[in-house]
Amino acid sequence: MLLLFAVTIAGDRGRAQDAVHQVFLRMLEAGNLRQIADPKAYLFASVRNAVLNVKKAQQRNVVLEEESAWFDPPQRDYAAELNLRRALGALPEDQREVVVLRVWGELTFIQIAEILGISANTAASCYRYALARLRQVMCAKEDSCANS
Amino acid sequence: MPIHDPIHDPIHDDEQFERYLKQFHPLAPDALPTEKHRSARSTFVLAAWAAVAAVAIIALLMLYPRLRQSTPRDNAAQWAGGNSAETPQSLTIRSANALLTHAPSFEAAVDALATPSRTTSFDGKQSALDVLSKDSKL
Repeated sequence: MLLLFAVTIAGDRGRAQDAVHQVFLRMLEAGNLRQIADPKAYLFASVRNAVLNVKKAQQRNVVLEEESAWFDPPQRDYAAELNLRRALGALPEDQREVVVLRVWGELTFIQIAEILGISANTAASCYRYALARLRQVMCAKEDSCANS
Repeated sequence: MPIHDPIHDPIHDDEQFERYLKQFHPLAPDALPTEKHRSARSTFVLAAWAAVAAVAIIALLMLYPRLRQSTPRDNAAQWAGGNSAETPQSLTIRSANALLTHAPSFEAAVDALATPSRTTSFDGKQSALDVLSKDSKL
């Protein structure tokens, strides 16, 4: 989940893995995970900060990598996996973050709000917009959705 | 009632679409290099060095007979270039006994012992010293 979240922000898997590794290394060095009230939200927030720091250091817009897969698709439907990846890539970054944190991170809107520094209501509405847009993009490409 | 296929059936509401999305499981990250990987790598390096050493030993073993064959020839050539008649031979008890046994006289044996390079070989040839000593006796 953490890696997927990092990939959706960083754009490529290698940079995302580096960010996640950095977070865990820092945590091991500090050894303060037990003192944290919400470790899961803290981890997502730490990964986000690590990726954003890398992006800031590189001073350039990140293009989402299309070559490497992000998901293990159901029934080995790799076309659907690519479709989902492209749909996620088409979302604005804040909406993409909310979707990933909510669907695959299984965080509450309050946790998401804390991580992203927004209100819970904003997180919830952002999620609804993102989901609608995602569905629109995915269904426009998939025949099955086109029938609906 | 038709069988519901969450992947290929039309998706109408957010919850259903959310369930569909959750069927895509995020890929696990690549494993960090661990001690096991490092030890495997060091084993590979050791095996490579062992193979190189084995090849070197085999090459030496193949070249050694050739070197050994060439060395005596070189020595022979070296000896041939010098005066082979004056080759110093170490005096041993065995050779002294042989001289005393085969020498025509005790004096000749002593002469042969004193000046081995000029001795009679006792196989039908005589040294110049022996001839001269015989001449002086005459």
